[in-house]
Amino acid sequence: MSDVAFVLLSLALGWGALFPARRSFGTAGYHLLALPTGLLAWLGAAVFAAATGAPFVPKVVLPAAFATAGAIALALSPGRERRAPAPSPLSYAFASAAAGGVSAWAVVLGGALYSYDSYAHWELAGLWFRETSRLTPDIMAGRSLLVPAWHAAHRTLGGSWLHAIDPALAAVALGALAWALWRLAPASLRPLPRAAAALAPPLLLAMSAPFRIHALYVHTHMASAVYLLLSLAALAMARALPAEDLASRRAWLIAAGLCAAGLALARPDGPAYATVPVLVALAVAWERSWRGRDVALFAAALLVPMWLHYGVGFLRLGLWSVGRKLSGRKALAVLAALTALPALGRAAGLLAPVRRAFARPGVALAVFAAAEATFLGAWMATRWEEARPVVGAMVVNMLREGSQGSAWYVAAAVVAAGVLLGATRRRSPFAQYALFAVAQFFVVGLAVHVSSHGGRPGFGDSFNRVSFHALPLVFWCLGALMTGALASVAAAEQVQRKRRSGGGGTISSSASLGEE
Amino acid sequence: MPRRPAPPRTALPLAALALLAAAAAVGFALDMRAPSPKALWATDSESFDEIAVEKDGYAQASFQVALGLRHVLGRRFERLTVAPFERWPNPSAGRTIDPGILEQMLAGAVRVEDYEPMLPSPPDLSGARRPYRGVLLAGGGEGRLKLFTDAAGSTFYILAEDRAPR
Repeated sequence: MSDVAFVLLSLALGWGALFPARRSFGTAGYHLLALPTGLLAWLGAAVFAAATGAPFVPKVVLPAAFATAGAIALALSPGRERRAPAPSPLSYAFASAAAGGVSAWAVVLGGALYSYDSYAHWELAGLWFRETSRLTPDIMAGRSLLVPAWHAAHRTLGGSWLHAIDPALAAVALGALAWALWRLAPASLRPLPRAAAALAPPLLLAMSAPFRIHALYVHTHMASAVYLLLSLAALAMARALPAEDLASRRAWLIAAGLCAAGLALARPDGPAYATVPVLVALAVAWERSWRGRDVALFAAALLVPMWLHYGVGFLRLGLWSVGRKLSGRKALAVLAALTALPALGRAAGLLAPVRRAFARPGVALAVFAAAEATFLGAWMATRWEEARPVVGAMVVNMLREGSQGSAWYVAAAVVAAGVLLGATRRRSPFAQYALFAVAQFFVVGLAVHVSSHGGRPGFGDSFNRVSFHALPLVFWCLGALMTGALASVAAAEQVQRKRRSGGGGTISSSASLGEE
Repeated sequence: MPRRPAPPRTALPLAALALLAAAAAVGFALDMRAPSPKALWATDSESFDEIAVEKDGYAQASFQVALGLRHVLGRRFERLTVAPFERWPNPSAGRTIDPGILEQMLAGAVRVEDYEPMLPSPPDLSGARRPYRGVLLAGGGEGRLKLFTDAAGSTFYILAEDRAPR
């Protein structure tokens, strides 16, 4: 099976998995979620093979992948679907052509970028798994099974060197960024400025040096970035929906949880970064006074794949240990923390004073940020000698040595603008969540890399590559700020028009999806 | 009663953000002119064609490793030798050539900087035999890589020869 066919098969699996909620997701959302969701189905097949010891052959892999997609569809089935048009056949054709076209470009032009890691870590871990259906401490501690499962499934289905997934996911990242900015822009914006604010950030992202590398680099980085972006975009969509559209909100929350699971299982450090969408989900749930069931759906979609993946690891290997990487004990601790977080958040929300305080926009984020800054600062202070070279390598690589060009100079300016332009930020409310997500990402990055990875100069440094996962969020912040600034200008024009016509009135800056 | 936001005084934030976006576009356009790290770029479609010829399982994977060697190492090494099996930090490997482990080890061989210091002088390859599924060519006539085992099959060598004209 060629790379192109594998991408299209994964897309079809995603369509099937998301089909019951296709109206809730809308045409663009449905198609953008399909490939990342379909790729999760191969993980289901790998977990099944590892659990049962079944050979990783087509007659096992395909039914297991389809069953995984079916399980997701089942989770999305309950509830009355939104009365919206279903995606048209033409949209399926367009999505297929886009995914197939990008993959074909990658194959025909040989547009792949690969390094030691591409072979030794990901391709050959997949090859090993395909041959043996066995987990190893190396796989559990240093890889996680999601990406090796793609390489394994591709080979099982007759393929060879899989290098079209990353370009296809890069296209999803650009599309998802534009789509999220368009859908979440204040409704007061006219189409032209709205389109400009939705298209400029993805265009800039596509031009940035890290994106150009990771769009072709056979690794885990584009996948992690896409899952993180889509998880937050799904939360933003759930947040922006009218309160009465319960079915759509729940569909988006399941999608957000699944994408958070993809983020968690794409790399061994993924479970730590999954705290980013988890904390954002909690903050949004408090702000919107969502019911416990809403949070539970998000948590279940995140945690069921994680527990299955690591549960099979515990079953087969016990509490594995490989150097300073993700040991069985650490995995268990992070899993327990991720499981407890939503429950604790829900419990805290039952206390009336907490509920009232956290219902105010930004309060929960501020509390999280303050608590984390305090703990991280204290922790770093106790091991500063160890932390200093790691932090130094992070900064030097992002700004000079890591082949990142001017990306992080721009990112720093965007974050500074986000902090300074408070009024503009508040006109596009999810901007502050995106800004928080970037900050939270770096908090986790510091904790992970100070505790388990030394830094080194150059592109290959782990955090130098991992930092890319947050870059789409930075450009989301930029786009959200632009829509906020454009909404301010539109509001000013509205005031002037009313003054000229002698009217007063209230200025609206409502968003297209609801009350924003 | 709906809250009435303070009327915006200027379009300064928009101007600042537009300026930021324009500066980013210029910066990124300039970045595109900078040379990419050569070791990372490998857009050699001819090599992928050759992979298609090698359809027999592990040889194919080995070929890909060989390609990786060429692209990762470039021409920095005329000759490359790789640590024997037992030095690899994989306790399950032992002296048994398990094909799956073998491939991981072969791939690990790419990290020359880690292992070269362990081999102060290249081993004598005159006794090496049994090329591992043949000689693997890295395409384009730029170099050639051979994968050998010794007679017992417990020691692996990768020999990289740069045949490109200087």
